[in-house]
Amino acid sequence: MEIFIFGLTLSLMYGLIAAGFALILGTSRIFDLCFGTYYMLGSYTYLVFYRVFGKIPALFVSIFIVGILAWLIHRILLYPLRTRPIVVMVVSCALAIAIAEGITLWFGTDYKYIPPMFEGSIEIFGASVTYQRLFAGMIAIFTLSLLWFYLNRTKRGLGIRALIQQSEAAQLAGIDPKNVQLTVACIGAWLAALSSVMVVPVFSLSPHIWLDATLLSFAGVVVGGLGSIGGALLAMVVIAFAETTVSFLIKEGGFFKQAVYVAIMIIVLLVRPHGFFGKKEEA
Amino acid sequence: MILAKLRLILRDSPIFFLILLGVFISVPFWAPNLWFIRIFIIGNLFAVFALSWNLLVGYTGQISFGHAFFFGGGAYASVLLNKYLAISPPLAIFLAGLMCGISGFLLGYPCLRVRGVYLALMTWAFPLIFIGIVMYYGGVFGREMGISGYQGLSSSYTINYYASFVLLALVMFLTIAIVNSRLGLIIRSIRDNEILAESVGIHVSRYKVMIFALSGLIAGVAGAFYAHFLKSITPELLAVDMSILVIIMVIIGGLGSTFGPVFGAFMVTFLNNYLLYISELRMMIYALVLIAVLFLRPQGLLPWSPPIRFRSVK
Amino acid sequence: MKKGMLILGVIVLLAAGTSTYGQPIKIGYVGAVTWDYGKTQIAAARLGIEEINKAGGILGRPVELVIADSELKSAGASNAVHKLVEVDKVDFLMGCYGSEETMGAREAACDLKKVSVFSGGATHEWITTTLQKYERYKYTFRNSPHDELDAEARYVVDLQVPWMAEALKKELGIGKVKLAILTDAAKWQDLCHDLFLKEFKEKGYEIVYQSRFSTTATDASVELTEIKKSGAHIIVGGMAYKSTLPLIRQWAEMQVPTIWAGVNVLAMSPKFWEQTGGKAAYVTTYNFGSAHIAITPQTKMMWDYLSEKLGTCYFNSHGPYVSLWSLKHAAERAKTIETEPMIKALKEIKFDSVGGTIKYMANHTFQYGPVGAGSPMWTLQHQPGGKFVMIHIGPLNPGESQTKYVDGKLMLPPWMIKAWKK
Repeated sequence: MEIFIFGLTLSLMYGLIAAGFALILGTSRIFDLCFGTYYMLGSYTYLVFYRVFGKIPALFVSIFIVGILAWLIHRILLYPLRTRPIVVMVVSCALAIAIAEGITLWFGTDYKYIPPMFEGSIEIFGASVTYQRLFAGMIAIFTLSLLWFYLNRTKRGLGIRALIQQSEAAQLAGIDPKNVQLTVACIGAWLAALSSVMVVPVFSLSPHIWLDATLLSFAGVVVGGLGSIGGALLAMVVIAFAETTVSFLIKEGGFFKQAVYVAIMIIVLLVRPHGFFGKKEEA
Repeated sequence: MILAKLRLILRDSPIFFLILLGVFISVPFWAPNLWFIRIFIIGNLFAVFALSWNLLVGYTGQISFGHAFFFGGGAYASVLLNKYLAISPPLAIFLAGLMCGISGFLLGYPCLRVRGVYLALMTWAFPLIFIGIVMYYGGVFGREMGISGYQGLSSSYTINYYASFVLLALVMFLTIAIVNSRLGLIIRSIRDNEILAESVGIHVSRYKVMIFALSGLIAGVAGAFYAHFLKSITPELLAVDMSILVIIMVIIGGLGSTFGPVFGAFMVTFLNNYLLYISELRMMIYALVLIAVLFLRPQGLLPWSPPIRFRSVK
Repeated sequence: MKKGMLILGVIVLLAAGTSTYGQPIKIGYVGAVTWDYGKTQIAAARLGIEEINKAGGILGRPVELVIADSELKSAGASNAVHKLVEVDKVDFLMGCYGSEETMGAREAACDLKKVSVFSGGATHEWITTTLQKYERYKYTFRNSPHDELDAEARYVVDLQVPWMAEALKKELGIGKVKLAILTDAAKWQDLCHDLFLKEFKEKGYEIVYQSRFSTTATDASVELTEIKKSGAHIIVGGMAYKSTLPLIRQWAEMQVPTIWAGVNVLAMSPKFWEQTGGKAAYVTTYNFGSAHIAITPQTKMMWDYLSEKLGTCYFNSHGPYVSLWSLKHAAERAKTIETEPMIKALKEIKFDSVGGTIKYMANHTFQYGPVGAGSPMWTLQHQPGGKFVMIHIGPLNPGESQTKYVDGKLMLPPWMIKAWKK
């Protein structure tokens, strides 16, 4: 039974993290490996500001700051390089490393403490679940619904979806890809920062969580398929449950947690390289 | 054709080439202290490692984000052969290289199914698997403590130096030979346009896997040599840092040339030990220089490299 | 006559030039300079050098410290040792915290035949290989605990856990005490973990859960849920990595009704309280070396000094200080700093310093607790309000009671009392 509870909360948390990445990737085909950096910086800015402004304002401040950063990165570095995907990947990876090392120099390599929004835990069907986990799950549902609404019911959102599905036709209809890419980068970064402040208190904060967040989201997109946000979310549910099941059922399963999603990713890459819900993409 | 290229180098800048050669050959004589020779040896070995990555990525266009698998794998293989099967270090290094080559061959096949970013992702996973094995089977692999107490190649710095120099020279020669041969033409055509290459009858898969194996073999030999030089190895040789380091060395030095990766490797090795003491600062600077290079001068920092064009879409 | 004076003058000048009188003795420190582990060790080293120079130096010569960064890695430590010996030409080496560093540094020091007194881990490797290949490894000494199995695990099995079990039985009215054994999935705990499983069973405890914990984990909810389900009263831990932080935090957040036994290296530092946001309350760990209690005068001195200067102190932060004094005593005994006489002298010296009485054994490491050993081991507990107290200590001699050093009682978490009290 714990498997179900933990799996569910984990799926929601992972889903929230991966949504932003799937959005950016799907819309602009840009492999922004800095996505993990937005995630990591979201928590670090929160760490710096929560004592000054209070928890909720600090959350909004960090979301805002990270959004600006993402906008700048895309505007200056990634948009100009958009025709060369490998270079984009290497450049964003290098930038992510540079920022992570910078944060290490400033804050040190210790795991830092981020206070959860709510302290305490509750017993659900025998599983001890912290309030923060539940809260993160609820925020995830709320935010993802908001995202769905935005993408399906607003004009801007529909424009973004059009660009995902039929890039040339959308451009012919007057949708400006540059504008959309920058917007999407911001939204993706906002989602990253929000998910960060919700999820990191459950786990731990260190400069290197950028790698975990990026790879997790990457796995979601690989399994779910390029261009499909719903697919990525579904993929995260699968991965979260697989991870939880393995941890609980296999002896010393905690050790293999990371191995699980890497294994799933490799298998999907080999068997169905374009994911389960994605469009077939050319070389 | 190889001779023609050598003649070309000698004709264009014979003095420069000869001076460089002279400097390298005579290091043990003019080094200010033993530690300098040590750094130079490490530079030689990393240059070989860099050349192996360059061979794979610069000439066949297959991006590897996990080359530490071969480097660290070669190190572990050689050390285990020496410690538990009492195989002498030179033979162990050779066998380790062979084992890495075979792994490269086997891993090259699944890698055929994916390209670009997805290939990078898949190669990133390989060293992780090896680290997982190392951490799980503590009895043999020593978990996080690694392995020590095995034989070194030689206790003399001079011998170690010349052995590493000969290895570097061999690999450089091999790279030039391949690039200027018919094989080189084939693989470069694969890099530039796979579909076209396939359409003119080239068995793209076969060559891709072959170079994957060769690259793995060379990196494995470098790693094994490094292990016997250090006298103690730990999983850090398989870590993502090592994979990223070789990418930095080659791209900053110059992807797709022969001297580029060597230059990059030496630059990084010397900077690591003589100027940039704080490891975080070091990585940050390298990453920023990498971005600058990719943006402003993608062919690397060597002044005489030809311009490079990365594959575009749209 | 004049020629004779000239020759005499030349001889005197030559002698003066080659004599080492007044020339400093250089001691190289290898360690993780940018981490707390290294910073505390360097602070301790500087203190030692200051004291020794005030006391006349070593054999009349002043002592100088040279530092090289190992980056907490094996290759880095090896490189640092070579740099210190080949470039800075140090006379002796010291330092190291982690097992990987120690392995790398040791191999390099033995390659270079440099007498070294390290303070790092890699205990089991050390004791097995030093005696097997003595001619190669005789140059290196170690002043950290000589063996997890013989010293640390024995303290936990023979003294710490039985004492805690008694306290639980008395306070909560529990019949049979149930144990959960959770150790790092790392080499240093491999042998300890098996020892715990075997010996606790023999002693009649019920082991209701046992597992290894990933050293890079950021989430322990799985392990903690299982432990809660199993009904364990005591978690016997063997933790030394950063993954401890989420483990302890979540233990407090999930209100798992157990107390902690064993070791928790991060909890050895006063900094642990703020690292966990105050959720370290009720966490215990064994420790040795420096403490806030004056088991020897230097023990408290070092703890106060490092806590004040850097706010943190670990089990071997004082290592280089002890290394320096070891070298001084050995040099004075050997009347020279030549290699072979120093090795012999290091095995013969015995003196009081941080943590207790220092005496190196035949396998070049050093005897720690529990009973009759050179230096005792004790258990510390973080208590509400940020207090850090010593709740138990192993006796120095058989039959002795050391409770005069204890300055606090074992406190049980309120949620545990609620869960178990009849």
